[in-house]
Amino acid sequence: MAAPGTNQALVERAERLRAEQRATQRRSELLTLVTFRLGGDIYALPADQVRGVITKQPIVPIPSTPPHLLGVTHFRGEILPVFDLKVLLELTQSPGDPEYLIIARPGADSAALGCDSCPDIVQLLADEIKAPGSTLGPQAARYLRGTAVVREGAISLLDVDKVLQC
Amino acid sequence: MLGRPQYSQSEGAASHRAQAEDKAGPDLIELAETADDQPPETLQVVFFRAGGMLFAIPAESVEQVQRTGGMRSPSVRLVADMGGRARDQLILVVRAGASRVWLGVDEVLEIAALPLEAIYALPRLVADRQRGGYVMGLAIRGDELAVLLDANALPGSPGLRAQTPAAQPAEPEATRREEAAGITFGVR
Repeated sequence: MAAPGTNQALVERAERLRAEQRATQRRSELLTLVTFRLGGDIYALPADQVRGVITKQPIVPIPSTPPHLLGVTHFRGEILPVFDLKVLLELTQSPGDPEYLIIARPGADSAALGCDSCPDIVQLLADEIKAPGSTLGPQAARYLRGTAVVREGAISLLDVDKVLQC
Repeated sequence: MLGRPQYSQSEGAASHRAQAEDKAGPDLIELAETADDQPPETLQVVFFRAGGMLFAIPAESVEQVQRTGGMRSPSVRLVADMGGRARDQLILVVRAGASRVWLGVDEVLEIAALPLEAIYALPRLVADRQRGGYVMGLAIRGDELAVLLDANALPGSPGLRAQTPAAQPAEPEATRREEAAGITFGVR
């Protein structure tokens, strides 16, 4: 017969080990990111939040909307809002016509995000992503989930929900 | 029997229709039935351009098209509201609720009956960010997307960033004079 406290101690130890195991798994989890350029910098979105990428489309501006909302585009029977990330992140003042559109967030509230380069795919371990650095302005930092450094340079990982709530 | 609709094979009302069909031909019956049972759901709109962009507005709210240069200058410039410049060749006189709005436009393209399937609501992410809310939705014209305006929500005299001319001859007398001078639009 074990002493009365022993059982409790064993349960706590088992839980601690499980939590450690989970944390290790999380750190070594492989994240797939869609990366793209805005100005000179590299930004990324989690790949599971990206439906696809389309090239330049006609964008119809909507009166009385904020400048970071470029307008809407008609794509395969769907009307998608188009956001200008460069204006949102204060990388430029003047809205532009983006070369590529990333269709983000599968589901009812899909939106297209304009970018300057053809997006690429990068895989990273979760623990390679650090808290957002202080080099970006406060406006940009609001929309970031973290940063990581890869061969091509620093990547800023965007929080899709915060971007689309703006 | 070639090309005859299937319902003509069955009994009752369908066989009655089949008799009629023998006289009139299948196409006429099809059209008549559509007209009786389901009136085609369309919205009459006026397509126009302002600042090179395509817009549509329900035709029932458009009273007249006038040339610019008369007494009245536009009270709403859509393109100025998007930071652009309009040429304002024409003015659409639009009934907006109890008042009238004078929309500056480049050209009027056509009046069209738009099937409801060709009309889309604004995506929620756009509708939530729109100040003023005078865009009702979007309409497809060919391969182009038009911004469909809600006439009743257009800014009256004190509106948004629309440029309101200082002197607005406001009332019926002036309006009647304009009606005499303007091009009557033929859609009410």
